[in-house]
Amino acid sequence: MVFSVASPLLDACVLALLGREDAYGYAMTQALRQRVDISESTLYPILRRLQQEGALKTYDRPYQGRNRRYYAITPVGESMLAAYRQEWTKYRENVETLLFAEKGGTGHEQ
Amino acid sequence: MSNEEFLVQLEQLLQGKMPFQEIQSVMDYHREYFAEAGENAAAELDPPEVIARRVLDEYFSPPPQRERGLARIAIIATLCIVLAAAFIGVRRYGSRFTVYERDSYITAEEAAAIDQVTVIDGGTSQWLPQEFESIVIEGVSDDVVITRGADFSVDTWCDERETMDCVVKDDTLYITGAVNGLFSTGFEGGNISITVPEQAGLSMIRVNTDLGGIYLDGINAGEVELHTELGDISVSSGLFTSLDCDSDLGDISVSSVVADALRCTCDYGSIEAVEFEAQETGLVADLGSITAIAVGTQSDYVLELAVELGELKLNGLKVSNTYTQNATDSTTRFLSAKADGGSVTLDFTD
Repeated sequence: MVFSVASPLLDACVLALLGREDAYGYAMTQALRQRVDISESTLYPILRRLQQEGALKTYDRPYQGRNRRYYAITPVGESMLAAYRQEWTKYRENVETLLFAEKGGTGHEQ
Repeated sequence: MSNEEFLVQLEQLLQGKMPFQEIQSVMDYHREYFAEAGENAAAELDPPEVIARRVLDEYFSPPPQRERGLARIAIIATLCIVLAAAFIGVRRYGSRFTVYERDSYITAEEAAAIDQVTVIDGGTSQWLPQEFESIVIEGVSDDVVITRGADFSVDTWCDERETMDCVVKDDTLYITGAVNGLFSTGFEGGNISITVPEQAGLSMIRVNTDLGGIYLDGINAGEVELHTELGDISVSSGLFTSLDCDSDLGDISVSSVVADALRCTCDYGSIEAVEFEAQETGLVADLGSITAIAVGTQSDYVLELAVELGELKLNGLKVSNTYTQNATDSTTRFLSAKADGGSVTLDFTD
C-alpha cells in the first residue's frame, strides 16, 4: 500500500472497528491490515492510550486455557469516533478536490 | 527471531524504564498476540527495540487534548533538541536543531552523540548522556523516576509550558526546569525518567520538584536529598550514606533501605517505612501517621517516640503518648518517630 496511516487516523480506525463489535488484539490487527498499511507495528500503544482516555474498556474471556483480552468502545469512544468521522469527511473532500482537479480549473469546484 | 526471544528482549528493554505493572501489561498483550498469531509471528514484527521505543514514548507522552489533537494532525513538532556544547555563547540555538516527531525514535548512537538537551515548550526527549556520578534536579514540576537500566539514560516528557535543560558537567547530571505561568489550569506536569547501570555507584542525588512524585528503586548512592511539594516519595531497595525525604503534601514510602542516616519529613501526608536498617532514623509527620517496621529487635535501638493526638503502638501494643528507651550496652541504633496529628506504629522484624 502506498499510503501509510498516521496516528490519529489509526485511532479512528481502531474506534470504528470496535464500534461494530468487541475484539481482541490480534483480531483487530488482522482486520486493520486487510484495509490499511499499519506495517509491522503492534497496536498496544494505541490501545493503551485510548484506554487511558476512557475511549475503551477491556474484559477477559477464557479461550483454550488462556485469556483473551477483549476491547470494547465506551460512550467517550463513540463520541470521539463521531468527531473523527466528521473531520475525515472534510479532510477527504479537500484532498479529493486537490487530487482530481481538472486542468485549468481553480481546484475550488466540487 | 523466535516469539520467545522477542518477548525476552522486549521485557529487558522495558525493565527499569516504566513501572512493573505496566511492563506486565505490555508483556501480556504481546504474549497473547503471539499465541493467536502462531510461530514466527515475531519475525514479521518490527524489532523489539522499535516496539519498546513506541511503548515508552506512548507511556511518557501527555494525554492528548482531543479537540486540539484533531486540529493538530498535521502539526507534529513536539520537541527541539539543541546541540550547544561546542557552540555555547557563539551560536547558541543555531548550531544544530533537531525536531523529533511524536512517533519517531533515535538510535543509541544518535542519542549518545548529544551533549546537552534543551526541551522547549514541552514534548518528549530521549537521551543517552555520558557517565555521571551525581544527579541534581531543580525547578522542575514533573515526576522523577530513577531506576537501574542497561545504560545511563534520561527520558523526559513535559508540559508545553515547561522548559528543561539537561547537561552533564563535572560528572554531575543537572536537570534544571522552569515553568511559564505556573499551575495555570490544565498544566499537566511531566516525567523525568533516569536510569543508571547496575554497576554504577552514585555519590549524590538531589531532587527538588514542585509538583511531582519522586521514585527511586534499586539505587545505591551516597548523600540523597529528595524534596517535593505536591507529590509522593517512594524509595525501595537501596543503600545510602544518608537518605533525606521531605514531602509537603504527599506521602513517603521507604522499603528495604539501608542507610547510615534516614530522615523522613511529611507535612500533610503519612510515612510508611518498611524493613529499613539505619544507624540513625528520624521520622516526623505533622498531620499524617507513621508506620514503621525496623530491622532487628527492639533492644537494638535507642527510641524516642511521641504522638500528640493519635495513638502510639509499639510491637502491636498501645502505649502512652511518649515512649523513650535509653541507651544500653546492646543498643547500636537510634530511632525517633514523632507525629502531631496522626498515629505512630512501630514494629521490629525480629
